[in-house]
Amino acid sequence: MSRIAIVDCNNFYASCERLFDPALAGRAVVVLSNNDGCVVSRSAEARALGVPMGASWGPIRREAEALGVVARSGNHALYGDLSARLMALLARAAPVAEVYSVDECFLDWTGLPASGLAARAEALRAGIARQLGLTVSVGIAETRTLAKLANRWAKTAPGLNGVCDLAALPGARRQAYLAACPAREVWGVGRRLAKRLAAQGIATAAALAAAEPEAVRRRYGVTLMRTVLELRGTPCTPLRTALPPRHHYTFTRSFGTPVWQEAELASAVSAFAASVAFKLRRGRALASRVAVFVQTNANRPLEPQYRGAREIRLARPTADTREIAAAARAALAALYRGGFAYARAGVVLSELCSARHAARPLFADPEAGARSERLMAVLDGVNAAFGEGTLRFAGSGGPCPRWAGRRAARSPRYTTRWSELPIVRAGAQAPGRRS
Amino acid sequence: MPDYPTPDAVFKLDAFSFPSPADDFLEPGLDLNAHLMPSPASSFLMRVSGSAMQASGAWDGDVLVVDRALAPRPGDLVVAELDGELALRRWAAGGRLEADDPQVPPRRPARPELLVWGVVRWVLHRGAA
Repeated sequence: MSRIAIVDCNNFYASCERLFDPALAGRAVVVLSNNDGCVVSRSAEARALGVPMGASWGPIRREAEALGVVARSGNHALYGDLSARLMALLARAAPVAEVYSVDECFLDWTGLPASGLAARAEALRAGIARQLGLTVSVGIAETRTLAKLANRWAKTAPGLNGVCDLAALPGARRQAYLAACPAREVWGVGRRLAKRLAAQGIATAAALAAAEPEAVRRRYGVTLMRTVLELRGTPCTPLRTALPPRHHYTFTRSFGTPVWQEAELASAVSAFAASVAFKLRRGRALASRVAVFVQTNANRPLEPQYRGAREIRLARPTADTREIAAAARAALAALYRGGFAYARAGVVLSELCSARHAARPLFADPEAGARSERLMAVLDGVNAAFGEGTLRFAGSGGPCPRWAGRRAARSPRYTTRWSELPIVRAGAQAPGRRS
Repeated sequence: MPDYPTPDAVFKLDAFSFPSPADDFLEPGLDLNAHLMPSPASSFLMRVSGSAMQASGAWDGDVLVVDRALAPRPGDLVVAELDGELALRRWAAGGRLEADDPQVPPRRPARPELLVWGVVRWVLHRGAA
């Protein structure tokens, strides 16, 4: 009998911020998106105060700060490192584990004693709290879709203490929960699909589970049919043990201040091209298409609006920053229109192939390819050893360009930079420090 | 085989070189990471600020290897959450948190295990300037 657990971290970014800053304990903390734009994580206290998830920070900042909310800019170097540690601990907790997102992981617990799974989940929860200071919730069920619902119940139902083994509950209780759960909350059902289902009279997870699978397949497709089967307890989506190959690498950012001049926009696009080329190399891939898009701020409809995209096909697949950045700049030159306040840009690499198995073009210089690889290896090696941005191409602009995203309050990169280690005081409290 | 970095231009062609008598006895080099951090996921590096714990061997500017997975035992150096900060203290019997400097009063919290952030496995003190 199949048993799947999903483990995910409560308020992940906000919890990471608290780990090294005891002064944040018990306080309302929010973490902001790139450019300090929106709220992307809230501590329980911030949620209780009514700070909405995804809210634009600018309009609510003053009111929130008056209520004692502490805002932090995104610190993804820290979150990524803590995520890697979490996944390393979870990988030891099951024969098969599938990392689903930065803070979620599926564990295959099929074959383990079914009656002891809740206790196993509680021990795992305590172990992670001890070793990483992170609070996780665990949902256990026969299928992934049900496990996700169990995880939701583990967080919200009183008395469950962060763990819910749906498979161990009596059928009536499971049915009661499914009946109380809106269809929109089911994994794979978004807002639009939920509207279509509601029009048909299916508003809860229980109603969706009761739907006739064949009829669902004809009307909505095979994916939703699999969801129905999973809600009924039949696993349809085994854990992935090998990652599917990627089709794109992207680097997109909103600008801290609007960009008007072509030269400044070109330097931003070059910097983005360098970043996406690095991701490409880290993925051991080569790309043949480079696309650039630029757009004005769509949230200001009264200002002149422009959005454009252009794609360039390279003569041969590459992972060399110089070639990718040159293509990106050429695409931008064709795209740029004066008189617009550009707010956002991105570079997308596609038509990928594996770097290891790339075919060598007939007339290319074999030495050039090897030289390019060595140069990129040195570039990546120096940046890895001394910090991102240590070595960059002149076309990308200076270290703190005007268009770089705002990050007014980013905490130190405690676990990835020697110069930003957490400080431990040996001695009396520092003068002036608030208790 | 020790993984020491060598320049690209150094080659060892098995067909022509003289076999090394050491080939049968090669052992991996000493791995400092594994030695200092047997539990890497729960091990964190921190820096000491202040000189109240010098008698215990932790000087200002030293790096601490702190493991959250260990339970403190009497005599251990621990990192504790005190007054909204991370503080370096010694864990004494009964859950008392003591400092070497007599100016710093010891603390006896109600639930000491809740205040311990982690146990210090190693203190790294710089030798050469």
